[in-house]
Amino acid sequence: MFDKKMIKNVDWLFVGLLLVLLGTSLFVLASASGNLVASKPYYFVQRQAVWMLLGVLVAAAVAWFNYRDLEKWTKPAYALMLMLLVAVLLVPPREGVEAARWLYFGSFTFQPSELGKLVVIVSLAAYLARNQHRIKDWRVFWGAIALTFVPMLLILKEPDLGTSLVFGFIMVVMMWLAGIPRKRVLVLLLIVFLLVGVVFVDLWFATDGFTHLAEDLPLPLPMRTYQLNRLIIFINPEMDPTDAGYQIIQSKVAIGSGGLLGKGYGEGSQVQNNFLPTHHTDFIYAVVGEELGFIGSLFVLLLYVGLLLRAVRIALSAGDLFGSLIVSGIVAMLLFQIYTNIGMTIGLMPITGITLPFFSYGGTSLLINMVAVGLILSVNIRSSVKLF
Amino acid sequence: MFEPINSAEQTAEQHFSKRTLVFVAVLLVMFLVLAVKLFALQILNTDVYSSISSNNQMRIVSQPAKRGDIYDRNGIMLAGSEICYEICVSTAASRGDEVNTLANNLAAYLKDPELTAEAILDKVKSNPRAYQPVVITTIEAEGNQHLLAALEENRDDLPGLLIIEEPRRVYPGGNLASHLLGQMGQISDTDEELLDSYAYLATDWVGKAGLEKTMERFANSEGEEIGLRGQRGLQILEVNSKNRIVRTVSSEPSVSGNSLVLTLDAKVQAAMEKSLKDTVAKISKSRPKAQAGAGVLLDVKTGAVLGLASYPDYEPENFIIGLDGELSSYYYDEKLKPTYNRAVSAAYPVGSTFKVSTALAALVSGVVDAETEVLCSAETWTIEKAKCTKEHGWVNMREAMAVSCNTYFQDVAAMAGIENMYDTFKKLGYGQLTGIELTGESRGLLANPEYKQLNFEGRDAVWHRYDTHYMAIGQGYSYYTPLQMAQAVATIANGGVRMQPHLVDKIVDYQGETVYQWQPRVMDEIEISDYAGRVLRDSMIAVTQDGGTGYSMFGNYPVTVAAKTGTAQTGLAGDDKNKDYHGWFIAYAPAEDPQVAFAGMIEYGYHGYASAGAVCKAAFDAYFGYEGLTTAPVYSSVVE
Repeated sequence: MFDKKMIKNVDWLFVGLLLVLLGTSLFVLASASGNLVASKPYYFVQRQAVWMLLGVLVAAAVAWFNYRDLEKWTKPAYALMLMLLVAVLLVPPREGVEAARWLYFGSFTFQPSELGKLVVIVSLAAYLARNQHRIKDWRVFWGAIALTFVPMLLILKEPDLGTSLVFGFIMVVMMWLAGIPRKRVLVLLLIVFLLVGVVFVDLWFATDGFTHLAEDLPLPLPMRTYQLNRLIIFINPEMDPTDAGYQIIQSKVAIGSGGLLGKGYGEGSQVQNNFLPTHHTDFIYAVVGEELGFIGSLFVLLLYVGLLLRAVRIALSAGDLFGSLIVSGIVAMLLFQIYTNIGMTIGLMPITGITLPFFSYGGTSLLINMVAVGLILSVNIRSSVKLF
Repeated sequence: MFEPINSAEQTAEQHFSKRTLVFVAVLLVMFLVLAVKLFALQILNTDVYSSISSNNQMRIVSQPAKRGDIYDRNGIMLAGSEICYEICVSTAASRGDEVNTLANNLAAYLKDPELTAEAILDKVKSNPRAYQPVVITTIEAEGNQHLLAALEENRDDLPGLLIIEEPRRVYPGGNLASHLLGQMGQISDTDEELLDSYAYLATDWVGKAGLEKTMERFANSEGEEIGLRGQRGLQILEVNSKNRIVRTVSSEPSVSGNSLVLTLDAKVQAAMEKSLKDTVAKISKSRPKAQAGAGVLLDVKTGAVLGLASYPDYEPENFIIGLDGELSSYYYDEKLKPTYNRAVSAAYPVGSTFKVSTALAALVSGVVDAETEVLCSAETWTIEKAKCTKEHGWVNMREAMAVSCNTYFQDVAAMAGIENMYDTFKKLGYGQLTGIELTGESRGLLANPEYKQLNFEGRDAVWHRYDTHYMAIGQGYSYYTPLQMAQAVATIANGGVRMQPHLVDKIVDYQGETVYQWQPRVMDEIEISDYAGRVLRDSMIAVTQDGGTGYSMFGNYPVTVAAKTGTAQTGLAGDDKNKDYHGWFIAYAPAEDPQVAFAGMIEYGYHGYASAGAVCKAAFDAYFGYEGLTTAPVYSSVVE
């Protein structure tokens, strides 16, 4: 099963970029979390480092595992995912938590939607690859939609708009790359843009051109008040600078005040004086922006671009369409999360709970992303090993 | 780093690589958009954001409101607030070497031997919540103006220093009226409603018992909150990166809470408390179980509480400063229960003092008059009756009251019947809440046949003749609070009109304007004929005359006192039926034109006149101004 050639196939540039990214994230985290636990400045760094080591091991283990064997596991895995997503809706959220996103095992919490992303990617890849000879059939199109929408709607119900949009983005990208007719994908995109348009026009009327928070919508939307407020605040954060708009404003001020070279490592006043909440998790990119400036921000962006392009290259050289689609789906997932998270810190996107892959503090999401890396490498090392 | 792969042969793969180019283009555009926006923020507009960052940082400062004071009827302060300053360090704003500088400089300014630089550093470093400032010490405003000014002026040497004004509750009277005033404590889970519905902060102090609790958020008839707590003020400040205030964005001043003026007379209250303490100390020498007692003095015409004491008591300020181990084990002693307000929360058998109520019920129902006589002798002591300590012979109401003859009152109660009796007792307020503005009031227990039917089974569910008998002499299913007893005495003294006992006379705002005034409330009324009233009064006067059980205490008192003593079986398991009695005393004065009514008791005090009677005398002395007079007790051969 294992072949020496496989080692030769490893895309070392991909691996290298990833390690640099992880290293950079620890470096930034040390500054971002140093003031959170008074007596232990390295508390979060130590924990995250342990997660990283674990992640590297997990990635290696997943890479060693042949991704082609995954195909027969897709159905049970998909079923299990649906069960967990339903279970999440049934478990009452813990006190103080608004959404039902977590499952609790003692002190350990787990978001099934995180794992769900990978399950949907692999399931979609298997489905599309299996049907590649009749990819133009409407049945295949609708099948792919159904595969994605069932978990996506369950997650939307939690409610977790951000994560369910990740699913949508993954689906569109995978459909596109699998060869679903161009028109259908474009119509799908058009519908998405129209929906977004309707929401914002609706809000525009409800808030007199985004001058206050909405009370009654002319067209009722199936969203919670705080979700709508995030959208309104995204358009006009100055409306409520001390409360709802606070994070967006403080994050933009942090990044903007960083300038070309930044205020210096550990010297960002916005971050170090705690003006910016959750600066070690959701808003960690603002720490890069404030302390390391435009140069630092750009450097991190380039690391991501390089990593994703190498992954695309792995997708292109994959041994089969199944492998290609798995890697592409993961690229789509990472791309969407990177874009929404960084976009949120600079005021390009509304606030969601989406974290910055390989960068934000948090063990579960890092582990899931490392499993994804393992999958990419599994495809990568088997690319020229012709088994058929 | 990206180059197309040419080896693809299958159409699907060709498709794949063509479409991949489009996808890669989208990917690059997305990153380009991020980069452009970053360029706009960090290069083009960096000046704007830098100035916002360095100058305009907002701080929200919540200012606690001054809590209202509590005064007695003559303006003597019972509870107030003094302004204190919390010297805090915001750990978020001071880091690294700055903390060391701060600790050294702060220690030098404070000159507190316990707060050395190391001690301050320890406090800062052990702060579990980095976002919240650490309180280093609390200093009183008075006498510390120079220190505060020095700290304020030298802020640059003290990075991260915050001075927060924080009023602290003080009780100038020490233990005085502790059970009435109650306690303050930090808000906790039991105050969930306050946190959820009334915008309290998790660090707030709130009333936990007594007036501090009941008047915390008192609402008038229009639903406006006019209680002790005021409204927090809120200031939004802009500070620069050195923590200096640049400007005040918005400021909502705090609103002081309203003050209470009580009906209480601090002088009377103090006299009653002292007498309770002294009496307990005296009696406990021979009767070690006697450790507690209570007394209430009411204005008979209005129901105003002039004194309401419970012993043992406590110092409310201890709960503000914090209890050490010794104090805490004393305050939470299971038996002694110093925080328990026995005057309103404890219901006891009241023994012979209840005979006054029985006499009233018999008179009102018309079955007896002044001449009606009952034979008290061994022959008439049936098994269904409580005996007397000696045979009293033929006695009328006056004689029976003076010597506290059990036989007489049991017989007249039987003649009146339980329904008539119950009706009168209910109108006197027994077994019901008075609605006084205090926490933990007990309802007591006033029984009737219905009560037995509902609560017992079989033979026990039937109301027997002996139930009526025992009830008539304050035993059996009879448990009343000292406050209920005082209320009943006041009602009798007031010609049958029951006024609601109350403590708060008026509420005044911080400018001294009255925002609320208590209007006397009639709770119930008993039709007492002039004749019946006179007979009852004469019988009660007989108690303090030669040959009466209260003669030794009030025999030659400057005003005529109408009274009744009581020695009540405790009814508690483990008590000796022949030795362990609660001592009760009730009275009103002057008998001719009643002004005040008293009821009091000493747990295990045995003789009513010598125990609670002493407290009554102290209360009357203080009320009528006879403290200087030595009214030596006279010898009496009669005991109840």
